[in-house]
Amino acid sequence: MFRQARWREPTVFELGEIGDGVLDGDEYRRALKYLPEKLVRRSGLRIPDLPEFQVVRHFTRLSQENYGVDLGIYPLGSCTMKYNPRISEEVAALEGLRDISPHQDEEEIQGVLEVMYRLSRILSLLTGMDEFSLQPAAGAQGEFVGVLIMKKYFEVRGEERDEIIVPDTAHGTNPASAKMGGFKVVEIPSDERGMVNPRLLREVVNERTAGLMLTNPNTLGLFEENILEIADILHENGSLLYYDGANLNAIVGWARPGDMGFDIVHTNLHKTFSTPHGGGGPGSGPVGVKSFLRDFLPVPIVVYRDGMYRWEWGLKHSIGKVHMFYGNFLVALRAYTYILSMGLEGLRRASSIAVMNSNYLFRKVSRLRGVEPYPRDSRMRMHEFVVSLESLRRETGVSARDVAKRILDYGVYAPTTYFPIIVPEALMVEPTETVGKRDLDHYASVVERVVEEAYNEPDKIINSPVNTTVGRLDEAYGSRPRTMKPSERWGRRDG
Amino acid sequence: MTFLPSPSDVEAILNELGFKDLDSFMESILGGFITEIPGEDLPSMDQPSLLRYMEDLSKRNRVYSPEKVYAGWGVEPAFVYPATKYLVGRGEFLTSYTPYQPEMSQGMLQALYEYQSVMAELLGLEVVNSSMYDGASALAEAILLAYRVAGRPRILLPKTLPPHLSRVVDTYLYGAGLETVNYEDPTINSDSLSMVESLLREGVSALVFEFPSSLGYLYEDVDKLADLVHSYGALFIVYTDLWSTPIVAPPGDIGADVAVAEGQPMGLYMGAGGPLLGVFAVRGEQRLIRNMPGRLIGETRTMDGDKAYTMILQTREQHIRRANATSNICTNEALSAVQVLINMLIMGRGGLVSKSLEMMELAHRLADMLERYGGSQPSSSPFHRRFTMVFDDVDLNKLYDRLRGLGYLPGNLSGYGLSMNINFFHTVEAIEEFASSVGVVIEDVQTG
Ligand SMILES: Cc1ncc(COP(=O)(O)O)c(C=O)c1O
Repeated sequence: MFRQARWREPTVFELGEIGDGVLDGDEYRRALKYLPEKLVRRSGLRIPDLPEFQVVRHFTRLSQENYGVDLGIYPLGSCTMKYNPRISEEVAALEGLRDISPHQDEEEIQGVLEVMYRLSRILSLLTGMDEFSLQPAAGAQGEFVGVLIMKKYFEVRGEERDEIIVPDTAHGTNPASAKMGGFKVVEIPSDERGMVNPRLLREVVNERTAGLMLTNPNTLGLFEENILEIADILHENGSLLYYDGANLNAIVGWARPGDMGFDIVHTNLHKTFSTPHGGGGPGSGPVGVKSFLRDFLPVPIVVYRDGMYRWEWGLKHSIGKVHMFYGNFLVALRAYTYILSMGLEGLRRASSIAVMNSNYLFRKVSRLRGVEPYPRDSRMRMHEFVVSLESLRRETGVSARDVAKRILDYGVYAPTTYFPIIVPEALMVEPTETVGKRDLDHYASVVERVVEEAYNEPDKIINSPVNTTVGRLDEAYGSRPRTMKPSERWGRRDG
Repeated sequence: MTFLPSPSDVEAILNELGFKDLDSFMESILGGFITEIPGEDLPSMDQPSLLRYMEDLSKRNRVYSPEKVYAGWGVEPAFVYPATKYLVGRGEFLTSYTPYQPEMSQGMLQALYEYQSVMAELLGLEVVNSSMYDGASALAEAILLAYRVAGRPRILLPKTLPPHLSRVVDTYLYGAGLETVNYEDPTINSDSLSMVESLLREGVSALVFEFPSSLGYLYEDVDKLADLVHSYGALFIVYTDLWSTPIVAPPGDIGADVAVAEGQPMGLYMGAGGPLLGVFAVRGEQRLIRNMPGRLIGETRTMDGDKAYTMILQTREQHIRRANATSNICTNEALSAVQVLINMLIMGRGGLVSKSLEMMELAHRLADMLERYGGSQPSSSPFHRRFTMVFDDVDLNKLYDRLRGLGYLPGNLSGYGLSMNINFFHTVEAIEEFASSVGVVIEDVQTG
């Protein structure tokens, strides 16, 4: 039976003696040699002094209280939690790539620039775009870049367009990015088939529409089959079409957003191209455009000229920079390594297996009691699928949240819950290609067992999880002004 | 295809789904959208040849000895303890994601909570988020926060703000439609304060202050500046150098409402500039906290009353608030935060303080030596580990190139001179050698 480590590990602040942390006599004297008294640190620095073995034990214990792809299936929807090959880690640890300063001149970093250049070319090939910038540090920053490209594009054309359309199934970053670009966000409802409906789209597109942001396949795991018509509607209106590449893993090597009419895309290298998610990041979110938008990309981009890789800074309408330097190079490097190890055939095979695995699990899960596919049809899904537990909730009182918590008790991670927001009691499941049939069968049997428990022993679920490091959290407690505690320093205003 | 399930698994599942191969399966879903992608240029490589290719590639980059690097704007050589490297490489951390199921992700949550807490100690502020992309976007988002809180579309930026920061700020503010006005840094121009006051009078949301400045200097009357900014209802945003904070008054001591920094110097590889770590902190005031960008981890309790950790105040974030979120950030730099945390804990309070003192002493020693070669500084303000110099009758670009030829990355050039930064690896011997190299080159370029 699964039982997660439960060390009751204290915080590092409790592991050793910490005094008031203020500078002692000798430290203070040394500081005063070059600093005026009023600029010497006054407040305590309450950081423990621990022997290295204690630090190692502490974090090893914490690691055991954490779950990652290396331990098993991690089927968060639209997150593409696939296996992260260790060769990429090895490559990212090569000194000649890792210990390079961003302040070096281009002729000293030809190897780095070659990686960037080739990766950009490969991303162009795989997405059907013409030029890429590797600067965005994650998908959301890529979206922000894309939105600013739209803004600048219309500014240069002298058109006043201040609206961006997003479907109601869009990830929260889409409307948030549009807003950060200064746009008004217009949300359109998906139709009963879970797609953008061209008829509805026509109704909202107008002379103020800068563009539409779309994920394809969308967050319901459905391929937007009207995409060509959608692209036409926007383009006829002079608007642009943005591709949120979070779900590229469904189609990579098979179909390309560039061929579907998208003008700007971002890709999430930490998803499709297997770089580790690191407990929340770092990622990398390169942005690609069709050639007519090349001049709007962030600077610099890498070009190859006269036998040498070079930075090109002179893009006429560049939106500027979004990163201190050139983006998350070591993440891009891992993605490049992964792509080279797979080759195009391997990538094609990977995405098709991702879609196959998803459909296999979809069939097993969506026929369980109290579980319904969303939308309610048995169409083929792509790399992920969404089910609604609304009936289960009605019949047993057990919610999607409860089910997710109970799934943890069986030693596997839970799917995304309550997203897309239009789906009541949603579970959004993306198994990826890096799980085998046994993993999928096991996962389906876990969900089945939990659903059975919901009908027979609902209390067991409502009181779950019990096998994880801690039991069910009182989440609201930590967010209330009176009881929140965001740091050890909180509430200790004495300095 | 070692990263994929076995062919027999694939066959068995395809069978159940009623397809004979993956092609016909994909065809049934994507139909006419399937494109032939020319793949001759993208064969698969086995691991030994791939490693060899990458090793060859890595040799086409020049690697500077860390003690010969004096460049320090944003990114510099940082020592990563072997124990740090080992711990962040553990798969349980490395291959996890945002802790959406906190009960099963306590390890990462506690680590991030500890990161926030250690960073809060350094900065002297109570609330630190669990990371932004880098120092530049953190600064830009600090300004957006100030605008949400104070509501005036104008921001004051120091003229000395270097391009790796200012260009990113410009981009974010272009999105938000905000306007910036530059003021003279008071460590460069002593008349600056009256100019700042007249700008404040016109109404601004924030004044961004570098402490220390990118040129290296610490403004002595920074507390007065903070008071002045506050008296006009604007926020005081401090961009700081984390290595200064163990001994120099940290942002919390000088009246900062928001503090931002780049975390890389505390223990990330340079990586040609990324991934980095955007450090973001605010004073413990509800209106600032509620308007903060990014993820925040906090202590909470289980239903049974045990202590535990979780993401808090999520209603600020894009997955809940969508268009009205405080930021669009989702994937952040969590593992960078953990890496920096572990690295700093290995040093401990004592190690951080003594390193910070040592850096200051080395910087002054170096400055003294260079002054003997005719070096002069654009400011008489105190400095910590970074300072800027010009040399009589010396073309700095020439000096820079010549030093580079001797294996140095000698600093960062700007209109104010050459800014040099003492890093973790510098020693007395290293800076003496550097100073004498500078001396030789100077003599050479002056006479030649
Ligand atoms: C559909 C979708 N779009 C955008 C994003 C944002 O990407 P990132 O987290 O890399 O910023 C996500 C990721 O979580 C996503 O699932």
